[in-house]
Amino acid sequence: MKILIADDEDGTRLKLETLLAKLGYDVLVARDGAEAWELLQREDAPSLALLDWLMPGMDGVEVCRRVRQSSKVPYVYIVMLTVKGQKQDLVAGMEAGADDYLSKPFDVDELRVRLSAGERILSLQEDLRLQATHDDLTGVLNRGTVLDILHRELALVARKSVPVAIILADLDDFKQVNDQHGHAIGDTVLREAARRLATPMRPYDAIGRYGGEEFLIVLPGCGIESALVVAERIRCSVGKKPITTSAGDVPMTVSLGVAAVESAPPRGADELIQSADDALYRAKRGGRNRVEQSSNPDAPS
Amino acid sequence: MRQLLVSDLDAALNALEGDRELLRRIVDLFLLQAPQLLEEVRESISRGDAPTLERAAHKLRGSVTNFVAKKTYDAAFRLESMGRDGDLTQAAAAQAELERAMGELQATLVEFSKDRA
Repeated sequence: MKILIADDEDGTRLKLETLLAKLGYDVLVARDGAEAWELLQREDAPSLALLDWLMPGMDGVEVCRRVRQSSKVPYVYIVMLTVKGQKQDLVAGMEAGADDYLSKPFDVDELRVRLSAGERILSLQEDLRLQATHDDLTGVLNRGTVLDILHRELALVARKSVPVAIILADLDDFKQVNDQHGHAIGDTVLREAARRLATPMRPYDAIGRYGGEEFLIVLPGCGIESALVVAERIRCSVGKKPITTSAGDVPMTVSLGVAAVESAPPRGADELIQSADDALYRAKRGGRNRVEQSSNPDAPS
Repeated sequence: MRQLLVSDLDAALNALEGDRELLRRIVDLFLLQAPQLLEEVRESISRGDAPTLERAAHKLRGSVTNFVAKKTYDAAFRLESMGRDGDLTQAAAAQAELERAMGELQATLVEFSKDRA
């Protein structure tokens, strides 16, 4: 696990760096607050940080405050390092959003237990974050989260003129599965279908459960043509063979409606979803297990 | 007991899980930087610059925590408090004490550093 240490005092830095490496951490070192803040803003920033209270320039408390203000995800667990006799400072540090503190001189056992408490909190925090953003049953994103992502991508269309496409995917005749085999089998089919839907997607695409058996897929950077290719792959991925359940094989297919925004002025999310939904309706009416696109890629159909 | 007040290197070693080599490296680093740390304290006192004294004494205090050096630590803490309170009237006496304690500490650490057995 990555950990950041920030201290302007060389001896303490050397001590921490050596002890933490021995404990198996991947250690990043900063000599002052500004450097620490820079490292914490990076994409692959460590989620554990040991910050000295008093450093020239930006001090540890200020770094802490900035991290909390940026409401960074994933969470950064911050331990403030103080020298004994700084009680008021300590209170200010905890109020700025520090999770714990360690007084110098500390020994290696103290360091170890404090950090393992931190790791415990981090893993709980991560569990909570996953629960809050994902659908329990299928493990894909929940409706709120995938809509947030769509809104974010639509804002990018306006700012950077990159296209974005969406796919609404609805499992065909899913209600029959529930009626025929019961909800437990229905759940198994949903889970496997969600997995197959996600298989052809790129790492930066997003899929969320939009309704009962309906899924919303967001494809950043895709125009209508490439989105149609992805949709066709998804259709094959779901329908290529029946889904195996304890009640035997259940055949399953999916109908898909595709819509895209290629340039500003962009359509709103509601309008875009509406045109994907119209296309989906045509796919259903046209016999299911097929892909349809919104009639005019850049205007409501 | 008197020796303990200068520095308890056994305790310092325990805090590092008995890593003698690491303690030696920290000691060498400190011996290299000690004159500069002390000089910053001296200068800030002679200039009557309380905020700088607070910072310099704090840094010195932080760096001696690694050696469980009570006398130096206490003397630095007194100066740091004076700096924070902006009252340097007693600083000369505290400085003399810090200089004495630092002298003893450095001598002890030089001994430790030489003892490469």
